[in-house]
Amino acid sequence: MKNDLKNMDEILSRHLPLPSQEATEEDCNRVLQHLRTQADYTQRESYAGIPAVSVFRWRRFAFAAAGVVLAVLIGSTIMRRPVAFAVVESVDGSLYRVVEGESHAISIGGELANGETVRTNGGAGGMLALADGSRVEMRSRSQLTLERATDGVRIRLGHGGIVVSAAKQRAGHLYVQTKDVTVSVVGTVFLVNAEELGSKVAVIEGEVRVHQGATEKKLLPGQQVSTNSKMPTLEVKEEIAWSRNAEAHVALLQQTAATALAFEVITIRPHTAAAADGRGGAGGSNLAPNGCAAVIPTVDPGRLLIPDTTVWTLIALAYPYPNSDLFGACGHLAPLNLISGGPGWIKSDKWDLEANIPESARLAVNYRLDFGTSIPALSPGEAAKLQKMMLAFLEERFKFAVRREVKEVSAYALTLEKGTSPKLTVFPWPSSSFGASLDDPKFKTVWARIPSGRSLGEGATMSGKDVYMADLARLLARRTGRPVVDRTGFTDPFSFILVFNPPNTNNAAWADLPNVFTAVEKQVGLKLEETKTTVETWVIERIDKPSEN
Amino acid sequence: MAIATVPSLRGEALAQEFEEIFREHGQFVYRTAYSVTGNRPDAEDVLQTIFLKLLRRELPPNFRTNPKAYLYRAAVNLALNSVRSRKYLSPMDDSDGIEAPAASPVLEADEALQRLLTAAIAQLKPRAVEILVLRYAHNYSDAQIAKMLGKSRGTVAVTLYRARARLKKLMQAGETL
Repeated sequence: MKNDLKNMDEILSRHLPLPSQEATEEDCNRVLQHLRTQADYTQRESYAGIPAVSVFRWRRFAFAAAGVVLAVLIGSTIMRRPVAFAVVESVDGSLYRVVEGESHAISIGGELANGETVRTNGGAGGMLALADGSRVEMRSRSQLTLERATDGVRIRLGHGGIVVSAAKQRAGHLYVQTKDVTVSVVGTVFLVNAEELGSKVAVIEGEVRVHQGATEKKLLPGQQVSTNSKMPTLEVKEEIAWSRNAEAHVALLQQTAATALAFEVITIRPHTAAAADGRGGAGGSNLAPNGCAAVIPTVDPGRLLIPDTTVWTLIALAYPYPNSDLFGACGHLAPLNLISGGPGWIKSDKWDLEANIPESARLAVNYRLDFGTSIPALSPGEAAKLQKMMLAFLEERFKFAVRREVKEVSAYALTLEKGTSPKLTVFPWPSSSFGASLDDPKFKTVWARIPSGRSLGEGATMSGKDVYMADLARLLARRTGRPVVDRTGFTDPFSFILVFNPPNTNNAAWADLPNVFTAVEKQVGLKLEETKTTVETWVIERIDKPSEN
Repeated sequence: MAIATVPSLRGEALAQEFEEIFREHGQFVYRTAYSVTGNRPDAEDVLQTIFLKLLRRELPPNFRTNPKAYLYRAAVNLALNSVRSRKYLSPMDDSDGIEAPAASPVLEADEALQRLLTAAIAQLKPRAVEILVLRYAHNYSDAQIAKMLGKSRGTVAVTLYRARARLKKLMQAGETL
């Protein structure tokens, strides 16, 4: 880095932290909203602070009895007295207030004011009730300082561990700050450990945001993050085992997990021909070189059956294909390289999967007859449900773990000139199964056989009948190896036939065909342009062979 | 510090005046705080603290003569305090980073440089930081900085030169820690 430091002017220009305009507006608006509530409060009572906890409620009753006018007159005077920030609710052993390096024991009911530091000794833990209704359970050998933040409460955890049951914050946040992270919440249950090596945050209920420098990460129940990879990794339930409420917290975790989308009963076993169920896997190999198994899943409202498949195909089923309700997107995803990593067996070993879908998550499935085969079609939004269940299944049975990265990648954008519509044309290519023109009897025969809503891309031809722009974008992405973004604004169904020389191919028979850009423009009336887009990529960090059924 | 009282404005008028000041200077204060602290929660904290003081009418007598300069100076000072208290609480460096989501090597290097820069800036004198941030976060010219802070252009140029040199030394020292 030393060479980089030669030009400080350039370093300051490029590396001085600057917020995005979006972040600036969002944070400024939030602060203003909060200040508005403070302004009202100030005008009524000439004071801005957090309300007292129940044990101090008499003060509020006293204010109420005195009446609003009296409150306005005397409020500021009274409220400038030190306000109890928290009260000690229970102690297992001893709890100490730390004042100028000296420790003074506090008993149950003891009050803690803004800025005070409290610690637990070797054999004890303690529970603090905060003014906003939150509860902070301290592990033994922990030390923290309670402070008023401008929009709520801040707990500075010096060392040790705490489980925070944060009350719903009316306008602001509850923050827990360690030496290297800040956790902000508005109402949730979570654990923070501050150790020599770094910090760890785990969520039991709700959602927390963990800030470290300019990095922000959202954590959901059961998830945890540590600031140092050398810190030992334990399950959340093990992390909270020291808590006197551990049983309740674990129950909460399990309850949250139960309400999450998950298959009910799952059978996963090495593939046998008998399990192929006549679909996809029966007879011959269905495995493409890219590790995708060509198989049509049987999707009933309460059951999912995928025989003769690879884990790679199942992972693709769990990946939320961008801007699409597509389920079963392995072939579409593979060329885009959005998923990477993992051992070789995930693309070669075959498995049969059968899963029951719980009553609460039954799927809305329609079937359509497609060239004589009944194809399940999921109603809008259902694919996302199935993807979540598939991901939960992979995590549970295969110990599947991915690192998600959001990247800006080269892409194409589909655009349409204002006031125009996509068009259906037939490119006069002798090898085309569509014939020479729209009037060609061959075209009419073939076109009549294609079901409405069907899109298909094979060889140098791509077609769709009564499909949507997302279908064309997906087919183009598969063929070009880049994500395709729909910027046409065209939302009606339309039909198209495209004949072109696919990029990255070397087929002499297609050499004279137009390239994809020309074909899209001349044959469909759209434009395909270079652009950039952000995509979520998955890097497989762990996957094990499945546990016993 | 002497505490002055804002001329008496009640209800709507008070709220209106307050919101006008916030709309005019809020984002400027936030960007200033962010460029010193390097993160959103601390920048938000600074912004809120300053405007709460305004709301509570805890203002120095010179606020009305140049609100922008006052708010700016307050933002720099509070942001520096925030970074310095973070350092006080954190004798160990946080160089390991959050495990997930992992960034690319380029991003990691950028973030490391940014952390080094933030730590070095926190060791400069507030007056130098005021000038540095106006130049690099707000793209002010020497003349604009001089006008806003009531200094000569020569002072601004010299302070900038010295601040960059000091930063370079601090960052080089920071690398070897």
